[in-house]
Amino acid sequence: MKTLIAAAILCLSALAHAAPELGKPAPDFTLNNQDGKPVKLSDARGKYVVLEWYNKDCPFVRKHYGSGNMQGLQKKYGAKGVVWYSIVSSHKGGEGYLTPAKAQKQMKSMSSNAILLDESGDVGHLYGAKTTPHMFIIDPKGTLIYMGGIDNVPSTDAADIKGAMNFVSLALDEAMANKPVTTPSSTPYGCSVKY
Amino acid sequence: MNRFAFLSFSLLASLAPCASAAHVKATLLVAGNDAALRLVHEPHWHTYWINPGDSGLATKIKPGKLEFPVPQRLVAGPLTSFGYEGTVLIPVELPPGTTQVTVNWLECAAICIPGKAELQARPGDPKKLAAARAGLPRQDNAAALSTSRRKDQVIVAIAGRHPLAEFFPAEPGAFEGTRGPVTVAPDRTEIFLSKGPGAPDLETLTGILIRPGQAVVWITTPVGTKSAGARNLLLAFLGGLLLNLMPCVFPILSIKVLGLVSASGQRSPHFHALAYTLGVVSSFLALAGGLLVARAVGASLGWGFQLQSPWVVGAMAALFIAIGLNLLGVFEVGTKLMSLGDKTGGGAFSSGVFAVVVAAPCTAPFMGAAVGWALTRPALEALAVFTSLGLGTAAPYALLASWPALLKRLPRPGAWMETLKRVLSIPMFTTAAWLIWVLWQIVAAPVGTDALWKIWSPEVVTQARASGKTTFVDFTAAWCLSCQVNERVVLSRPEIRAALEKGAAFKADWTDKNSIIEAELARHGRAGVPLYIVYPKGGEAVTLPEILTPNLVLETLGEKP
Repeated sequence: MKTLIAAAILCLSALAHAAPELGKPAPDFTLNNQDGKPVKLSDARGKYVVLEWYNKDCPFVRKHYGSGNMQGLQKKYGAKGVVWYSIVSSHKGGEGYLTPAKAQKQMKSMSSNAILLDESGDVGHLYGAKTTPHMFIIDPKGTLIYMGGIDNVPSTDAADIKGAMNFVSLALDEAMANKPVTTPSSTPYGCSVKY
Repeated sequence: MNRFAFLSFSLLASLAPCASAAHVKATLLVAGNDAALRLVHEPHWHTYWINPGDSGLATKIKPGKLEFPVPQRLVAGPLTSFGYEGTVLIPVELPPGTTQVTVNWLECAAICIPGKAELQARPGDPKKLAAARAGLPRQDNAAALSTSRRKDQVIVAIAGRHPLAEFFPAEPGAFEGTRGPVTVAPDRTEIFLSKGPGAPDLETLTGILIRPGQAVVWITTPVGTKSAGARNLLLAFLGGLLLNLMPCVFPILSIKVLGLVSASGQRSPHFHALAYTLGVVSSFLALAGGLLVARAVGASLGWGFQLQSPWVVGAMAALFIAIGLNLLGVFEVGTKLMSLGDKTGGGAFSSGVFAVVVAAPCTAPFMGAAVGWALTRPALEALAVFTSLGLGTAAPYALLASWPALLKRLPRPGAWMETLKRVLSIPMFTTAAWLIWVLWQIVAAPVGTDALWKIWSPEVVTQARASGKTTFVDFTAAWCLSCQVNERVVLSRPEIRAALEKGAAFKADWTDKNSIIEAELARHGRAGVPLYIVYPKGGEAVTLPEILTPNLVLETLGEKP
C-alpha cells in the first residue's frame, strides 16, 4: 500500500514538474496515429526522432507550414532517416484538435512520418510541451539531445524565417556529424498547447 | 482607422480565416511629451507582457519603446502566461516628432491571432497618460535583500512578512510561469522561482516585485551563490551558541562548569577547551557525514531521528534519571561518568560528544532549516555548516576554559557544589520526564485528531486545493517540543481555529517514521519538523517559520489579525 501511495506521489510530482532532462533517456510513450494504429516512441530506437507539437490553426505553426519551412525540414531529414512525429495535444474540441479522419486529410499537406493524437494531453505533460510548435530531438540511443523552439525569432511573420537560426536543423546536423550540440535548449515560442 | 491598418487587417484576416475579426483595439494617444498605447481587449482576450510566460509573444512598437505596467498571471491549465486583459494603457517613449507607429501583438483567448496596426497619434487625456506613467513600477534594487540559486530554483529574499508576494521575471523562458512558493518569516520573505526546462542559469535577475500593501518595483539584482553560504555559516554558529541554552544541553554545560572548577590547576584549561571543542565538532561532523552517506544511498533522514526509536528514548530517559540520581547523591559513580574532575582530555572530548547527542532533539526545531539546507548542498558545504554549528556549540565552554581570569571568577569548590548538584538534578529529571512523555506518545498514542484537523495525505491536500479552500498543513511529531508549543499556544486559539475552519486543516504526524511525510518535507527543503504550509485560495505554498505567532498565521490565512 505504502509503495502504491509513493508511486502515486511520484506520478503526481512527475505531472507537476514535467520536464524531460537533456542527456537523459527521453520518456517513452505510445500514441495512435492518424490511421488509428499505435505508435511506440522506442520502436524508432536506432534512428533520430523529432517530436513536434502541432496545432494546425495556431498562427506560429501556420508561419512554418504556410511558408513550407516545416515540410522542408521534414523532407530533408526524412531522407536522412530521421523519424518525425507531429503530436496534437489539443483537447477534444480545442483549437487544432484532430479526429483521425481530419488528421489523415491534414497529413496530405505535411511530410512528417505521422500525426500522433494525444487528446488526453498525457504525452504533452510528460514532455512539458508548452507551445506549438515545441520541438524535441531524440538521438538513436533514445537520449534527449534538444528541446525548445524551432528557431530564434519568436514571431508569426513568415518573412522572419529567412534570417532566423533554425535550432532543429542545427542540432540534427551537429549530432549527425558526431559533434556536440551547441544549442541543446532554447525558449519555445508559439501558442499555448490547448490541453 | 487609416487605410494601411485596414489593409494589414485584411491581410491578416486572409491568413487566419477562422478568426477574421480583431479582438483587440489599439490606439496611440499623445498629450504633449507623453504618449501611451491603449489596448482594449474583448472579454476573454489578452495580449502579452515583455515576458509572455509559458506561451505567447510580447507586444512590440516601432519606433519607440513600450513601458509595460504590471501584468497579470493568465492561467490556462498547466500553462501560465503574463499579460493584460480589459483595457490597458501602456506608456510609450516616442522619438520626438513621431506621429505614426507600427504595433505588433499576439491576441489570444482559447486561440491566438497575430495583430498588427499602423497607428496615427491621437490626442489623449494628459491626466490619464500621466497617471499611467505614474503607476509604472519604479526601479528599487534595494527591495531585494539577496538573490540566490539553489538547484533549479532562484530565491529572491525580501524584507518583511509578505505571504502574498509575487515576482514577475522579465527574461523570457528563464522561469516557469506559475506563481512560485513563498516562505515567510516574521521579518523576511523568500520567493522561489523555478527554472524553465533547459533554461540557462541567469547571472542577473530582473523583474517586477509585488508586495501587497507596498509599492510595486522593478528590481535588477545579481544572482549570488556565495553570500547565502556565508550567511548560513554565521547562522549555524549562532544556532550552535543557542543550543547551549536548550534544556537538553544546559545541564551538560553546567556539569562541565563544575568539572572545570575541579579540574582547574591540574591540567591546562586550554587543553580541556580544545578537547571539548574537538569532541563537539567531530560529533557534528560524524552526524553530518552519516546524513550525507544516508542521502547518498537515497534515504532521507531527519535530524531528530535518534528520538524516533522507542528504545533510544527509553535509554535516554533512563540515562537522565541516573544522572539526576547521581547528582542528588543517591549513588556515586567512581569512574567519573560525566568526566567530573577528569584529568585527561579524553573525558572532555567525550563530554563534547555527549553534549551533541543530547542536543539532537533540540536542534530539530531550531536548526531544521539549516540542516535541510545543508542536506541539499554539496557535501563540502554541508560539512562546513556543521563544523560551524559545532564551533558555536563549543564556544561558551571553550571561552570559559581558555580564559583563566574568567575561571578564577568562578566560585571555589566547596559545599555549595553539593547544593548546586542537587539543583541541577531538577533539569535532569525534567528532561527525563519529557522523554518519558515522548516515549508514551510514541508507544501508546497517535497524535489526536479532532473535527478540525484531518489526517494529511498528498491526495487530500490536492483535493482541498482543487475545491478552492485555503489549506493549512501542520507537519508535527510528539517528540518535537516546538511543534507542541506551537499547537498549544498558537494553533489552538479560538480565532485561529475559526479561521482554519473556513478552509481545510491537515495534520501530518511524523512521530513514527513515515516515508511519505519525509518525501514531502524534503520537497520543501526540510529534514525535520515542524513545518507549516499554507496554500492560499488558488495560490502556491507559503511556508511559515518554525516558531509561529498568532498574527502571522491569521495574516497568512487571509484574516485581519
